[in-house]
Amino acid sequence: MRRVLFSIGLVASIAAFAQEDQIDFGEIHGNFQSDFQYYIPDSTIGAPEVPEKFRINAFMNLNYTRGNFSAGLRYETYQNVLLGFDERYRGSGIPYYYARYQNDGLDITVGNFYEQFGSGIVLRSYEERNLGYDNAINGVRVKYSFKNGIALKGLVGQQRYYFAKGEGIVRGIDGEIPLHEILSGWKNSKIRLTIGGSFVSKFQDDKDPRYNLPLNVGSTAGRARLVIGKFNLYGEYAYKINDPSTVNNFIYKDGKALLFTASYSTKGLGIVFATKRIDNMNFRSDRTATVNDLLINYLPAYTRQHTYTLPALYPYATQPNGEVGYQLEVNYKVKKDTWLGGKYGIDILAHFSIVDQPDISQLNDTTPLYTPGTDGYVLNFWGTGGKRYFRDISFEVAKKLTPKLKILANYVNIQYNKDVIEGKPGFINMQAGVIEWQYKLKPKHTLRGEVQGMFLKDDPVNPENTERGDWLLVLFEYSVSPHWFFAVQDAYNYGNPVDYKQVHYPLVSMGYLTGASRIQLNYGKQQEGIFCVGGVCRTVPASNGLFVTISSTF
Amino acid sequence: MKSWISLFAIVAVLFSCDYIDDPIQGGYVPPDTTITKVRKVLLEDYTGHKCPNCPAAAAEAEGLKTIFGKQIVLIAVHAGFFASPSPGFTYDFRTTEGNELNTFFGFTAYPSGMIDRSGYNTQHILNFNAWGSRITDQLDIDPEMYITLTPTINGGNIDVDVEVEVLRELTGNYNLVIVVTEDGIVQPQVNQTPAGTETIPDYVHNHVLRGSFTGTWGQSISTGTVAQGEKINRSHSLALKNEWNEQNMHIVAYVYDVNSYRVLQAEEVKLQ
Repeated sequence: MRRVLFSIGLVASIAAFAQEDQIDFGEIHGNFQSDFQYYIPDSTIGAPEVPEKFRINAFMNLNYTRGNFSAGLRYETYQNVLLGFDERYRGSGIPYYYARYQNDGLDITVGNFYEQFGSGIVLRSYEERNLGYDNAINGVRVKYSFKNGIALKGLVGQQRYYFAKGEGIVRGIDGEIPLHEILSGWKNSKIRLTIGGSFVSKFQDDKDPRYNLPLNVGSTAGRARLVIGKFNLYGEYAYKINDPSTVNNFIYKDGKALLFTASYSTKGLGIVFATKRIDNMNFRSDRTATVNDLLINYLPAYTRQHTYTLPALYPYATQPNGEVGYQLEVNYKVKKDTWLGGKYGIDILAHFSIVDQPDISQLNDTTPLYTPGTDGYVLNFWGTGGKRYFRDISFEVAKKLTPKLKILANYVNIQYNKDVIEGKPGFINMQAGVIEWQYKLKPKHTLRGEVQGMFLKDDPVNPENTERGDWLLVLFEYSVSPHWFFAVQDAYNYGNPVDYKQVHYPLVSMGYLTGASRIQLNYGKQQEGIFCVGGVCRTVPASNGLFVTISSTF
Repeated sequence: MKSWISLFAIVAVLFSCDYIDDPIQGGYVPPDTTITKVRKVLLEDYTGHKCPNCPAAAAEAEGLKTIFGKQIVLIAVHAGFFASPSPGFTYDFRTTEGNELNTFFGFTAYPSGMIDRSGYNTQHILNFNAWGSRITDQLDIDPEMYITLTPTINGGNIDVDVEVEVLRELTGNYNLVIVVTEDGIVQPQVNQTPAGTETIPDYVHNHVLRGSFTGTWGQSISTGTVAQGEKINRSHSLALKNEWNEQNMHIVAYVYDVNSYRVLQAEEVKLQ
């Protein structure tokens, strides 16, 4: 009997123990991606021989959360890095790791973090894996949010430089005040006004034998966002002190940037206007860094990011040394059951963007523009210099014709200053058109097709340079939602001025999706080009071979 | 109150901005290399005749040579995409050794360079504007070895006698590389100007890597510990090629650490 009682007591106490001490171990989430490419050399399209035959980029993010605490890391491996990405991504490592604590408005991070002040014109630290872009800061960040909405941020650290860190130190503070939350009279009004300011400074030692370089370079910005009903206005102005660097050819001029966007949005109509004036705003934690290395700030493109293959071949890359740009985009939906809109309505998009050189002139008759060790040039901040960098006029019309059939037509007209954007001779006038249709064969089964054409005018500066000439692309895609898709496409460079380059670029692809995992296989040829996200770009070399990507989120 | 004071202190530090009124430095006074055994830094300029910004890098290298004098030893390695011959640019400047170095050190953007190959393997590739600072860094290191070169032309060959003097006790594996460079090769070169890119038909290419006495990676001169004062002597020979102009040639030698690839010392003498 005693044994029985003892046993009952033991079981009861274990049960009680188990109930009381259900330990919260927290949660682990993450994601994985592996991109594999097998390369076949092809001299007709300029695909080089790759000694390794195949290469792989892969990474996994692991994030652990328990209550107010979180920590994580990212493992990356490049065996060797895929062509088109920077070769300095070599080997394997854990370039990203952090620990974070958030409680009662306070948010502390040590290790690596991403951050943005305002629109990013003085500080934006982010990752864009498709570009191989990662300027994560390694250091410490403290944020505090007051109950009335005022938010303060402070950070200090060094930036990621492939598998190392840049030698410069970045220090920054940022504050934002939502006036409509604070001013008692505004609480019930339709006006929402938020103002903010930031200051970012970088430190880098100077061992240059020729110039006295500033060790500390500061940049400050002020911003305001005003929302009145359907209108949304945003403006930000930034100023940077002398910051001689490789990109500005070691001139000692200060930098300025002004951004302004205005948008109006109502049912069936959206209008966005944006303008920018950028002068000498290349800001990096290493003055000798170039391309996409060690950028502290981000300058928006304010141009359209085309998604169809051929129109996307000439994207704009932001020019940090100076540019003046405007963008206007209108989205309009013609109502259904009207004379023009028909049974299902029509979606119309019109886009116009233009970027020109700023109005600059020589300091004096004897000092050429951008002479190192001088102020470089005289700027007329409100003028334009006449040299066209980029222009895009495009239209898109999408319409559902029947319950099963949707069509879309797209027209793009681009002027592209290759000399400025890519540093290669040429000025390109390009027109492109796309017709896309999507037909639902039966529930879950869809057949989609695209016909794209791209037509290049002769270069007025170098008439013999007709670039890659005219192209035609046809694509068919069959998808069985939600798991499968199969596609076949052929891009034909029939107008290439070089006869042997008038070749076909066939590509077949298929993908399988299940839950949060995806596998995609492409086999065929890809033309060389430039790939940009938000005005930040990388070159994509021509390739021929098999590409496999596997990704999963957990 | 204390927290406000600390906040102000932080802001004061952050607001540190250095306004420069006098950008140009007074100048560097190089030591007298005829009486002092000084460190000489190897500047490898990775370049190509179709590379628009490469003339600017070459000018930078010459500018640094003006500042640092004989403490800079220059090699222009023509390799990679911009160096390949094509219509209008038919001359092939490339060498087997240059191609191997280009691939091994991972050059993909041009112009780029290495200063004593320091910073390998993450920060060894430098934009030309960074060369000056890195040279200053390298010159701060006391010299560890000193190289003396004595070349002679012997029939169709270049013979070179090398003496490497150890200036302080060293432990490691060291290789000696001896190469030949040539100045004054007149061939077209693409050039970037503010108005756009242009081709200079009669550009003068200097310090061009032409060949090696010792292969790409050189030959071992020391493993383990080597005592201060020790002198290591080597002799090498290389066949002259018809296209080389003996009057414009230099012999360049350098010793590097096999484990870190860092160059310890470099030397250059004119062939004739």
